[in-house]
Amino acid sequence: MDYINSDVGMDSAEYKHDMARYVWGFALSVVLTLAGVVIVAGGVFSTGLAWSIVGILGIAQLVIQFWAFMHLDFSKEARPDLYLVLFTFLLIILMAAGTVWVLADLASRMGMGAGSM
Amino acid sequence: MSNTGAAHAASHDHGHHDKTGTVIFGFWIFLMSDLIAFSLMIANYADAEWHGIANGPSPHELFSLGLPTIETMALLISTFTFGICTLGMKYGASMKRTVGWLILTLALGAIFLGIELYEFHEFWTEGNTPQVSGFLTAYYSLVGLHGLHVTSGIIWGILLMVQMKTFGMNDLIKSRLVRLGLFWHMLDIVWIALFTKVYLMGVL
Repeated sequence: MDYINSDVGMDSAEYKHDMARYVWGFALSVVLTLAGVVIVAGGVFSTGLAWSIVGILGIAQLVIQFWAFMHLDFSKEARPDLYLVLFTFLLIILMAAGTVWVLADLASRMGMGAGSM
Repeated sequence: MSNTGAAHAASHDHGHHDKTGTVIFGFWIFLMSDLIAFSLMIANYADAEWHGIANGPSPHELFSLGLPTIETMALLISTFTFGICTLGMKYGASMKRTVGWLILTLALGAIFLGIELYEFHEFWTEGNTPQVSGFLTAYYSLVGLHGLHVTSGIIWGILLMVQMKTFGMNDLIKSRLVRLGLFWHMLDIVWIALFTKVYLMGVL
């Protein structure tokens, strides 16, 4: 894949095809962001359910933006980037979840309840 | 004979593409290391928000959704306009058009930063400084770190425009613009996580 040059111009079908990906990414991101805000501000769902829905909306938007703006997909050209991102998320899950686990365990052993000290 | 020449030209061309590809992949590795740094700051924030309120305000008391939503929209639009900028560049758009979209992108980034600093100022003058609690320390450092990235992105973009004027749109400048674009898109992806965790889940 050539990142910086194309043989064809901005009136080509390739340009329109690539642009469609950005427009989709943007439109879906706006919808998902506003959906999250409406769910939190509306207060229709219980706190636990709203928390889960907002989390899922966030992860969905993250995947969409990696696909639309950073050109991450299952194509051969994007394979090295995809492996790198997946490995990074493996590290993130291990380290972030491990950090929260260790700190929460420490807090409970020190008798710190949630929200107080 | 002309065949050999064409083959040579093709292989030369191929080698050149590989170099740009390698440079961009290297930049991806930097971005992913930055993403790990952000994710650990978020993990730290999640714990501080849970156990580190002390005598300070809780996220629920501190945050409202109005300004952060506008802030989020500004950054989201800017990541889209940067996409238009780099896509046009690849398909041979004029430098004027490319610079125009870049300026619009950086201006939206500046609006984002302005709202963020306004919020910091509001919290600060209400007495909610970083010293008050572990939660506030984590908040200022996490959101502030992202703001610093946006600031450096804006400076980087301005420097790149100077380079465009000086050197013209050669392949090296184009490759740099693509890398700044990746950086900018990554910042919006990080902001999705911050907006969701800090503001949306904080207000709940």
